[in-house]
Amino acid sequence: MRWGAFFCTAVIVALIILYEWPKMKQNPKKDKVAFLTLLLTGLVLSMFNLPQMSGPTQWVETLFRPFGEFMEK
Amino acid sequence: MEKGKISSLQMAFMLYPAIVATAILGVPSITAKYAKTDLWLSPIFAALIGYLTVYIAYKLHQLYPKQTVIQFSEKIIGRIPGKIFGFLLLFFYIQNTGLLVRGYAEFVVGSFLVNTPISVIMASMVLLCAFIVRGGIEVLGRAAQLFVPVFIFPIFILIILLIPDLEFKNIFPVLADGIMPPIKGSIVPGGWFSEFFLMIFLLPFLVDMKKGIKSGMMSVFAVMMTLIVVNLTVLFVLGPTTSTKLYPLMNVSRYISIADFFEHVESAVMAVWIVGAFVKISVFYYACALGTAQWLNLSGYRPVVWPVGIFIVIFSLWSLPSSVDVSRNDVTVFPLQGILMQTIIPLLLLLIAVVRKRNRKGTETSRMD
Repeated sequence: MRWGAFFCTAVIVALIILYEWPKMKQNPKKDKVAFLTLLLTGLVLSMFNLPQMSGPTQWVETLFRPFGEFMEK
Repeated sequence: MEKGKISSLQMAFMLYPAIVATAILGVPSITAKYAKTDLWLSPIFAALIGYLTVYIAYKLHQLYPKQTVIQFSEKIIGRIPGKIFGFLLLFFYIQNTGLLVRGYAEFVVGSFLVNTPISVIMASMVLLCAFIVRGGIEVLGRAAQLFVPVFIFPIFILIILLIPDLEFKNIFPVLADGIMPPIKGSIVPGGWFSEFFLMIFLLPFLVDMKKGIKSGMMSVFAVMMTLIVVNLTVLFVLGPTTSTKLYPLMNVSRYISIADFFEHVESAVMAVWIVGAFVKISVFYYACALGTAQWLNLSGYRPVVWPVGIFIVIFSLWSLPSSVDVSRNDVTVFPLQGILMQTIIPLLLLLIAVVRKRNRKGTETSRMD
C-alpha cells in the first residue's frame, strides 16, 4: 500500500471526472460505463506498490526469454 | 468517430519523430554492442522491416479503407479471434507507450533534473499529450508539422558543429567479422522500424489516400538516413567506446566547443529532443486511445483519453524497479515483441484477407457461369 500515490491518483481521477463528465452528457451509457470502469481500474492499481509488483511487462519478458538470451550473448 | 482529416505529408511528419525521437538516443550504443565499428550499416538492414511494414499496412488499408486494424481484424479472422488480437495489440501499444514515457523520464531525470521525482515528469508529459490527443488528429498533425522542423534542424546543426571533432579513421575496419554482426545489430533498430505500423491508425484519415504509401516509404527512408548519419557521427567521435555509453548522442554533444564560447549545448539538445519525444508519445497515445474506443465500440474516443493516460503512467512503473530494467527491456523484449505484433501478425492477417477475398471472388464468378 502506498497511500501517497493512491491519494494523488484519487485527486487526479476526481479532477478528470469533474472535467470530463459535463462534456459526456450526450454520450450513450456505454461510453460512461467504459470511462468510469477504466478510471476505477487505474485507481485500484495505483494502490499497489507497482514497481516491485510482477505485472504484464514481466510476463512478456518471461515469454520472450529465449530471444533475450539470444540478444544478451 | 474521428472527423478530422490530415494530409499525407502530415502523416509522414508524425511518423518520422515516432521512430527517430527515441531511436537516436539509446539505439546507437545498443547497435554498437553487436556491430562494433559497422554500426552504421545496421539501419540499412533494419529499414527493410520498415519498408515491409509500410507495405503491409498500406495493402491492408486498401482492402479495408476507412477502418483501422482493430475494426478490420474482426472481419478478417472472425469476431472473437479479432477481439483477442485487438486486445493484444492494444496491450502492446499501451505497455510500450508506458515504457516510452518511462524512458523519456529516465533520460530527463538522469541527465538534468536529478532531484525531481520521476512520476512528476511522467505525469506532466502525459498531461500535455492528453490535451493534444483530445484535440483530435488534425491538431496532432499540425503540431507535428510545426515541431518536426524544430526537431530536425538543431540535430543537423549539432552534426555540423561536431565536424572539428570527427575522426574519420574510426570507421576502419569495415566488416572485419563479416556481415553477421551488423545484421545482429539491426535487430534492435528493426523493432523501432516496425513501429511504422502505427500508420494504420492514421491512413483512414488521409485526404489524399493514394499518396499514403509514398509518404510512408519516404518517411522510412528519412528515418534510415537520419539513423545512418547519427550512427556515423557517434562512431567518428567516440570510436570503439560507443557501446559503453548510455546516451551516445548526448555524450557527443558535450564535445562541442567552438572559440571557447559556444559550449554546453547539451541542454539545448535535450530541449529539442523533448519536442521529438512529445510528438512520439502523442502519436502512440492517439493510437492507444482510438484503438481502445474502437475495441469497446464506443461512440467517440475522447472519453477514454484520460483513463488511457492513467494506464500509460501505471504501465510506465509496473514491474520496472529501475532504469536498468527499462533499458534491458529495449534489448531483450521490445525488438521481438514489436516485430511480432506489428509486422508478422499483420502479414498473416493480410495473407488471410487476400485469400478470403480471392475465394469469394472465385465463388462469385463460378455462380455467374
